[in-house]
Amino acid sequence: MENSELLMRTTAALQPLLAECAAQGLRLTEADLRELVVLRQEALVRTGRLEFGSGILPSLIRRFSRSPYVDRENFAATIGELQDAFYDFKNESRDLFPDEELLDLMEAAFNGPARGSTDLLCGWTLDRLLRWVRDPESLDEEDLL
Amino acid sequence: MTELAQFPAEFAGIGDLLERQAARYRRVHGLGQGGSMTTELARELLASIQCTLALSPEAHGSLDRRLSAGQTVLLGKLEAARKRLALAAATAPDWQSEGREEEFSALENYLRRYDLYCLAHHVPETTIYPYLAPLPEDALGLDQAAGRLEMLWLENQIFALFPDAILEPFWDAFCGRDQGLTENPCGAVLRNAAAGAALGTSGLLLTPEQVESARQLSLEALRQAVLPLLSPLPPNAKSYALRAFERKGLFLF
Repeated sequence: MENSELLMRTTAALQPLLAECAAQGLRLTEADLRELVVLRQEALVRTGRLEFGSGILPSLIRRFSRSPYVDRENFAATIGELQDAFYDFKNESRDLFPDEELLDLMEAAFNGPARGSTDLLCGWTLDRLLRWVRDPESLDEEDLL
Repeated sequence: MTELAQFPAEFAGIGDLLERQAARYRRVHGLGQGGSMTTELARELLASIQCTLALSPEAHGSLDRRLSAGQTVLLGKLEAARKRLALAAATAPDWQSEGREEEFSALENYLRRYDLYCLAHHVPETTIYPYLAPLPEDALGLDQAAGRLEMLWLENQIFALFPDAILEPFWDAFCGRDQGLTENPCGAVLRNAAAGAALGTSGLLLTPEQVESARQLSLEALRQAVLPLLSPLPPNAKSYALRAFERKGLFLF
C-alpha cells in the first residue's frame, strides 16, 4: 500500500474521534489527525517499529482527553509527544509491557508528578517511572525540573 | 518495511497474518500484548511465514490454509528429527569426545527451542564437529538437524562394532590429546582399526612403529583391510564408514 493511501485510510479510521473530542471541548481537527498519523509514522521509523491499523492513537486520544491537565487548544501537540514517548517506552520495556499497562503508567505519571508536562514525562526513563510507581516519594528535585 | 513488498499481490492479507503471528509470538515468549512490534521481529516472522508457505503442498487457497498446511509438514519433520535425536542419544557410547558432546548439545537445544509457528526458518548452530561426510545442504533447519543426527547415529553404529574393552583405552588417549574437539573420533577409530587389521595386530591403540608402518599403506589397502569389520553394518552406515578413507589422515597413538 502506498504511504499516502495508508495515511488516508488511517486518518479516515480515526474520524469518529473528532466528534468524541469535540464533545469534551477539545480541539482536534482533521488536519491535526493527519499530522498525528504522519508523526506516528515518523516515530515508528525512528524507533524501529511496525504497526498496522490505527495503532495506539485512539487509545492515547481517549485516555488523555480525560486528563485534567490537558491543554485544550494544544491537545494534538500533546498527543503527538505522548505518542513518541509511548513507542520509546515500548522499546525500553523490550515489549514486555502490554500496551494498556504502559498507557496506565503514562497516564498516572502525566496526571501525577508530571502535572501535565510532556517535557517531564518524556524526559523520564521507563525505569524511573517504574521506581516512582514502587515508591512515589522516590522522585527528587532533579526529576521534577 | 520493504520485505512486505516482496510478497506478491496474491498475498493480500499478509499484514493481518503478520499481526496474528506477532500476537502468537508474544503469547508464547511472555511478551506483553500490543499493537506494534519491532521491525526486527516483523522480519523474523515474515521469514518464518515465507519458509512455511514454501513447504505447503497446497498451491492455492487462503494464506491461512496454506500456512496451516506448511505447519503440518513442519510438525512431521520436527517429530521425525526428535525421534532421530532420541535414537542418537540412546545408542551413543558411554565415552564422548568434547566435539561430539558440543554437536549433540547444539542439536538438542535447537530441537527443544524450535518454534515452528513463528520462527520456522531458524537453523541449528554449526559447531566445528567434523563429520566424515559433507553437512546436508538443506535450506530448512529441521532437515539440516535431521541429517546431522543421522550421521551421529551412523557413527554410534560403527562404535558398537567394537567391545568396550577395546574402545575405552582408545577414548582415553583420543580425548586426552585435545583431538577430542577437532577430530572425528569415528574416523580415528576406523583408521586405527584398519591399520591394525592390515598389520595383523589387535586393539585400536598403535605403537609408534605401527603408526609408521600404517602410513606406508595406501588408502585402498586400508579400506580393504577394514571391509570385513564393517560387514555387520547396514549399507548407509558402511557407506558412511568408508568416508574415513577418502583422504590420508594422521594415524594417532
